[in-house]
Amino acid sequence: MIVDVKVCMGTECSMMGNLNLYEYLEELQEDQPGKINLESVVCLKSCKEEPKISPVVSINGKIRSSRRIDQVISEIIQLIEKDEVENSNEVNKA
Amino acid sequence: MMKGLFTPITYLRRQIYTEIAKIAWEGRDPEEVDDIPYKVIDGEMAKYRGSVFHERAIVAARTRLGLGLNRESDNENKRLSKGVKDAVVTHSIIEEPLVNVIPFACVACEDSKHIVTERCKKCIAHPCMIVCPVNAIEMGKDRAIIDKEKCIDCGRCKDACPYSAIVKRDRPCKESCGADAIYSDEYGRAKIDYDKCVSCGMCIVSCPFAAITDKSNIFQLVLALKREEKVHAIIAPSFVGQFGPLATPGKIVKAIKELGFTEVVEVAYGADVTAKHEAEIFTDIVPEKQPFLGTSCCPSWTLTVEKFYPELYDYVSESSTPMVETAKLIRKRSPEGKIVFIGPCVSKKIEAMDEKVRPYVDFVITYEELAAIFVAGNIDVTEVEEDENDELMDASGPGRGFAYATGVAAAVKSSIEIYNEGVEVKTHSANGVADCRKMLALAKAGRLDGYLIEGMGCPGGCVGGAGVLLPVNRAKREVDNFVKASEYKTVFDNPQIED
Repeated sequence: MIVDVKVCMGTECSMMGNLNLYEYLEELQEDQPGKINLESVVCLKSCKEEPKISPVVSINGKIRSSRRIDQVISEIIQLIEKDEVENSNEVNKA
Repeated sequence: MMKGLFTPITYLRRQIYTEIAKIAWEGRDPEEVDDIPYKVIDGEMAKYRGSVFHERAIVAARTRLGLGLNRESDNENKRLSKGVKDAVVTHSIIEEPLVNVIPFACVACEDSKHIVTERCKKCIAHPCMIVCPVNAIEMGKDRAIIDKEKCIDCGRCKDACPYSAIVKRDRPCKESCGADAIYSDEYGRAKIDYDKCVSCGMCIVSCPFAAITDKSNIFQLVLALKREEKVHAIIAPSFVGQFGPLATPGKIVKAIKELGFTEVVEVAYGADVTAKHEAEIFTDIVPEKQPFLGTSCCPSWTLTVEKFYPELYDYVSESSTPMVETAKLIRKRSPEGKIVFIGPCVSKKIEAMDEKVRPYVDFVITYEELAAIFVAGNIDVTEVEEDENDELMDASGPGRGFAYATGVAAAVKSSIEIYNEGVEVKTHSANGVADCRKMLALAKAGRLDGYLIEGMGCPGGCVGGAGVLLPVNRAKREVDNFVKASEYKTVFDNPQIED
């Protein structure tokens, strides 16, 4: 697993886009087998903080806003591609 | 259609509902609704449209409707909070029309028409002109031109063009309307023909400019929860999974109780009653007294029959809907309490306004509106602790299956076949208003004689309603699991139903 994604499924985050985001992430997970670990988690408490960044997801332990679904997806894809490049560099060195 | 996608409009709508609910929960001065447009559209730069002032005016109009108030004239100086005192009550104040266009939010999309784009290469073959059955196409200076007066929108030119240069310009609201109820005002802005509108709500979720919305009971419901002693929730079977994968049915029930509701009862109980009743009626009267029987649980479907095929209206079952049957059960033991239907749709709001239904159902809210009430009330459905009192066991599997297209027909069919051994019932289902009209045309032509026909106003059935949170395919799977989870495998197994 390269990317560990935890989607906050607290009521506010669910209502403000995470339920729909989850569907996209499941499809992405299928498109990239073995690369993404996807989980729903209970409220990450971002809704209580100022400034408010909810809805949120946690990607590899870092909480970020999932307000823009497209940005979340492209970040995940970038992480996967970066890892692929690093791996192929290592293979080339060997 | 955009339905099912989460867009900035979805975000905006839910923010407004949450702000309205907050004012009620926190007992703030209702005139504070004037601040809502500034909370939702903050800053000085437009987020969505050309100007923050336009955006705020749209939010203000949506807030008024969200409070249950009627649309005011846009030509007079009226503060958002003018007359808001009328909204500070603990009963529903919604009057028709339920679904409203906000004219100044509408960008007057042209009616669906075929047009030639700049991709046209003025080719020698011009197949567009050759296939046009009404000779509406001519070659202009830069490209082929379609004469709007002659064009019948058959689409043959679009299919024939080798450069895909001809497109159908859509008017999203009109495309989504199965009742042909959308026309234009003198400025080209969308207008709803209420003689045809069946309040399915599809236009609400299709307009990419947030120009259409319905009225809401949110504000009055929250006030009632704070003030009244007994507020009962009856919840439609499509509710499972709507609040996320970690919000089990038990947690949803518990969270609803934490809001102040006395109890939660499944509307699928009423579905069992209706299915049983329709099984009895079908056996008695089809085909001897009438050629077919139509289900009656979806108000948009029954309105479609009434408005477009009134001659067939007598063939729609006279059963009360599951919502009314469930509400009646509770009304018997709680004459003074408030009864609230929580469901996926806009349509039930119309049914609740009917004078025969008013004594039983006090409020209708959607899952979307309920989510806003939870958030505004600081209740997180995933964090409540459920116990055995929160387990719903009011209904059979088939009753719960009413939540998606073909589920009602299946429940009634299996009930008829149990009631009369050896009988096999033919069924036909339609979902979406346009589909319902096609089915009615078949019925009128005598092609559905002997059938049980099921009509649903929303694509996919109730799980596809305008007020849902969960994408439809997942919602269907959740309902299937909930159907299997019932102890009662047929409607006759439900001990709560009287014989």
